[in-house]
Amino acid sequence: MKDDCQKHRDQWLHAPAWSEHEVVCADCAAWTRVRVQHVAALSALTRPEVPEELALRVQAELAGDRGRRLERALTSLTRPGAPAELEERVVELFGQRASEGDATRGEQHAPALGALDVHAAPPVLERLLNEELAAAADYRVKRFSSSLERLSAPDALEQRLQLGVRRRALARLVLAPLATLAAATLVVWLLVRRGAEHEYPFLVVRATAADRLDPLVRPLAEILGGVPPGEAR
Amino acid sequence: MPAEDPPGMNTDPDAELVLACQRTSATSLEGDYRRLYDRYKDRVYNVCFRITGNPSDALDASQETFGILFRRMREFRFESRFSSWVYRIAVNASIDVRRRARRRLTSLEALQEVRDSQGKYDPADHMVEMPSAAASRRELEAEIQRAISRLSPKLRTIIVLRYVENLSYEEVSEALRISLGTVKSRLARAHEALDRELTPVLDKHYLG
Repeated sequence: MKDDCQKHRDQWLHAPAWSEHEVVCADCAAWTRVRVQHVAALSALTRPEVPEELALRVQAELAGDRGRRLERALTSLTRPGAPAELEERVVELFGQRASEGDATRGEQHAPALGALDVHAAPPVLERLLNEELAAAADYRVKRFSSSLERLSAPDALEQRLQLGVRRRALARLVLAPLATLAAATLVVWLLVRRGAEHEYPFLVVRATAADRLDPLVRPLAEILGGVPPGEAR
Repeated sequence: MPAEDPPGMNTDPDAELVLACQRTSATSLEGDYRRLYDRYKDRVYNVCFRITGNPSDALDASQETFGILFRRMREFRFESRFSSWVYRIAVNASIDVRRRARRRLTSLEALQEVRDSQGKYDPADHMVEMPSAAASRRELEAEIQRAISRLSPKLRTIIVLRYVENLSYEEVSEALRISLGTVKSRLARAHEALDRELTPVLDKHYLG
């Protein structure tokens, strides 16, 4: 919009008055005519008659009657609208698809919703309630612990377990044979060491005649020497 | 040394009456409170009626306005004109009542109430218009009110204060506690909205 046109319009709204700009600009002239009509229509609106009841109400309020104010305050509480999801659930509940128009859907839902009876509470409810009130803490624990979310194990746990299994396998493959080898070496060493420190557990005797041998070993010597038994060499 | 009066007090035409009210408590609609009520009842009710769009809500909003006004009279410090303060309370009360009432009243009932409330006349008054002309004017006013009611609360308020109550830019700015620039821009937007809502109505009425 041109500056002159904007200026004319701003000035007119602030203080309505004829300006020469309307002569040169047909758009602004038309704009002004429409605004003049608006202003004339609005300014000519009849002032409504103040009802006499207003004075009585103001008088009552000044005298301490807060009833209407309380009523207005209570009725001003906003009512949350039903979420769109509610209709979907109702439709599912009665096994119908929401494909028809609003009027048809309304006709179908009304009897279905009307069929929902208001049920009286079963007698067992009172007994359960009394039990809960008698041991409120226990019931609170049961109620809320059962609703605790079951958490799934994190991935890190599986990785740690696999690492542990691998470590144990490594130990079995490498360390066990090493331990066995070490034990065997120790045994051999012990045996060799004992052999070096102690005398042989047998006595070497050079005998020139069989009758000089111990009678217990004489037959063994005769056999090993190839001498017929009873004959000395 | 006595404290200086606030600067607004000397130029406010309601200052004397307001100060008189502030010296007493409002327990009944008598004396200075009655005078103040009589001075402002037409303006308050007119604003409330034009913003809410129907007499019932206008009555509630007007009662709310005077209730707040009289209860909080002593809090007024002449930082603005008293009339600006009254208009501000009336506008807020009206918007509030209309918001609450939207759930209660259907649009059809609202239109019927507007129609019923228009231009009562005394048949004995020989200056009254011919019934057909009066009915036509009542219908036009109802249409104008419907057009106003279709505006958003902010634009509706600007239109009512500026053209129905004939407040200047400065007075509107003071009443609504908005800048002059905001008054100007809202008024321009209000006129654009009225182009859509009101121009067809006026064309139909004037052209037949």
